[in-house]
Amino acid sequence: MSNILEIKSLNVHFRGNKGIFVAVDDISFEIKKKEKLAIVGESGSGKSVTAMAIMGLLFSNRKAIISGQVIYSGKNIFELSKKELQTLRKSDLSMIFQDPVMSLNPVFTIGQQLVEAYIMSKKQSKKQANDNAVKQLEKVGILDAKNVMHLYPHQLSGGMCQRVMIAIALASNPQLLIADEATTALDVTIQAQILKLLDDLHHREHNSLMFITHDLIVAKLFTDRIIVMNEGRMVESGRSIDVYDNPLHPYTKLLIQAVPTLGKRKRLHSIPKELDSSFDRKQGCQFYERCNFRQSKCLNERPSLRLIDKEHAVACHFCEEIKDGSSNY
Amino acid sequence: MDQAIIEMINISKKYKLKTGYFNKKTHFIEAVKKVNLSVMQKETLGIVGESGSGKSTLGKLLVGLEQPTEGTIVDYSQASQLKSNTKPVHKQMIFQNPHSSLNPKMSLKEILEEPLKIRGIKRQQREENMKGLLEQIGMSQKYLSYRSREFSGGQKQRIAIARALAMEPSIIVADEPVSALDVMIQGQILNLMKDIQANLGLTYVFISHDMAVVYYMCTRVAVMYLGEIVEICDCDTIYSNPLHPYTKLLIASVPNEKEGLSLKVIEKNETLNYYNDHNGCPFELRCAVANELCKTNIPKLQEVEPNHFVSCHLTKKMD
Repeated sequence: MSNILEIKSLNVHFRGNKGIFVAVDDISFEIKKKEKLAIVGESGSGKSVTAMAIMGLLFSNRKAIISGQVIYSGKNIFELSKKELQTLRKSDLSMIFQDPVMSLNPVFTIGQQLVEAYIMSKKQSKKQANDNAVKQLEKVGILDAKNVMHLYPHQLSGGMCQRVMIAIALASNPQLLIADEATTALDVTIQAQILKLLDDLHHREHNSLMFITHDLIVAKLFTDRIIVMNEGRMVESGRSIDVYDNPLHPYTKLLIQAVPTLGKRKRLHSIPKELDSSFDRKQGCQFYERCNFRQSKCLNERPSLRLIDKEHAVACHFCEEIKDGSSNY
Repeated sequence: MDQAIIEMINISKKYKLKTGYFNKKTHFIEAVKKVNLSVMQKETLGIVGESGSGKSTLGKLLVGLEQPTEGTIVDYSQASQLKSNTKPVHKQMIFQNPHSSLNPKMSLKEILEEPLKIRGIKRQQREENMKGLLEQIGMSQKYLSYRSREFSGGQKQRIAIARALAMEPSIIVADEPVSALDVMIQGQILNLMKDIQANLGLTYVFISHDMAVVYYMCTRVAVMYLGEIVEICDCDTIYSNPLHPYTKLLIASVPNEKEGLSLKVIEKNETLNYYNDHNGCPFELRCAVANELCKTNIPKLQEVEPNHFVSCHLTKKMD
């Protein structure tokens, strides 16, 4: 399987009032063709910023300092002109944004926004685009699609807006679809519908999917590979089943045990980040303050991603010992 | 445990909705339809359902933020009444989004002091009460002077809990208290709520659409669909032996480790039009096992097993 997208040592820093904030810290990974990849982490771990960097959406942000390479079919996205980038977004790359109500334009109807996507990506006539738009809305589970076409975003519920966003993103049949917490705001029944929709599309069109979520169970069940991020760094990556069933990094373990699951009433474990986080984490492990297994080495030496098992990599000095010894989590 | 603290008898709530050209048409949306529900002492009653099922309205009716269009709410608790105002204060609410339910300009001290002032507590006593409250939510006293906009989401929700506790309530209605929060903070808030309940012997009404969270928190669960309670029983039973098709759908939709991702979503997926005068079971249009009877008769909540109430024509036949 060849790669559709390669990310090489991507760094995204933001200039802030208190200094430079490291949002994404030296990340390298690739997305293969036809692959479903999940990026998992709590809020503030840099998932969304990574996605936005891939889409080239951070160039207009003056506070962002970006370095590294994002290579899509042989071309570095960071070196493309505005126009080339736009063509790429029209046809090949597509993104479903996190906040559906904010992402839709409040002064245009759903129909106008959806039809525009069809006209731009496929150069269809207005009538054709209109027909396709109605069909697409029906596919994402909106019932009277014809009427919804004439409504404005504020007249729809959050779940409906999210489905409209998904319809817009799917209009171009993208090669790579980035779904940024696409199902987080939705009810379970609708979440199942949306996941089914994405799954069907994946089977039909053989596109690649980058699925950003904080829900490890959904990631395990829905995707082929998981990358776990913590404070801008990659801490673990591997096949979905391996990462969920046999987590190596203490952060991944914590992430699994912080979420309640059906059928288990064990007390939840969670160590949230403190509010006043210091900005200097360059030296040691970024997870040091919250880790139950920390040792002096973790404070001074930054762990790099190393391969433990086949395809299963982890960035922790002591993951073998944690695995063997009794786990506190 | 078996004593009811609040009982709702035939509660309905209708909202007026104007549509059409120049808002000339008036419709009524019945957010809650003839609900009978009693909240028992010291239990955690979960209310689950999709968005738009009337969970939040039911919560607001319970606290008294909304007045029912029909029906009565009987309050059995012997809680303290306000001096000047006769509104009972033993019912408190925690809202979904702490970022919008706390005034960003107010300091933590002001937020916590206000309910204490309303209770008519003297200044010195207030200080001590505040200390106690902060201890309960696990926050240091140095934060008292901070404005609420300076706190993170998890801290804000903890403050919202403390604000509710300041009234010394006997019942707290929590309307999706963790759905706006991050995973890590979610666990922390849920644990905190459980601890507080264990310490103070509170009654919770926990409104959520997250089945896993409800399972973690609750002792009894009521499932709502389009303003009606379709199934109610204790928590373990509802997950091990759901009887209403809607409950089954809800539970099957939860991503589950063992069974994998349930991607068999029901084909017939029509939600009932709100304005429609539909004479049958509200779930009939989405139900996979509906028959002729469901189209014409509205099912009533019936006790199928001991303490297990279901409103479905087919429950007995399905077994």
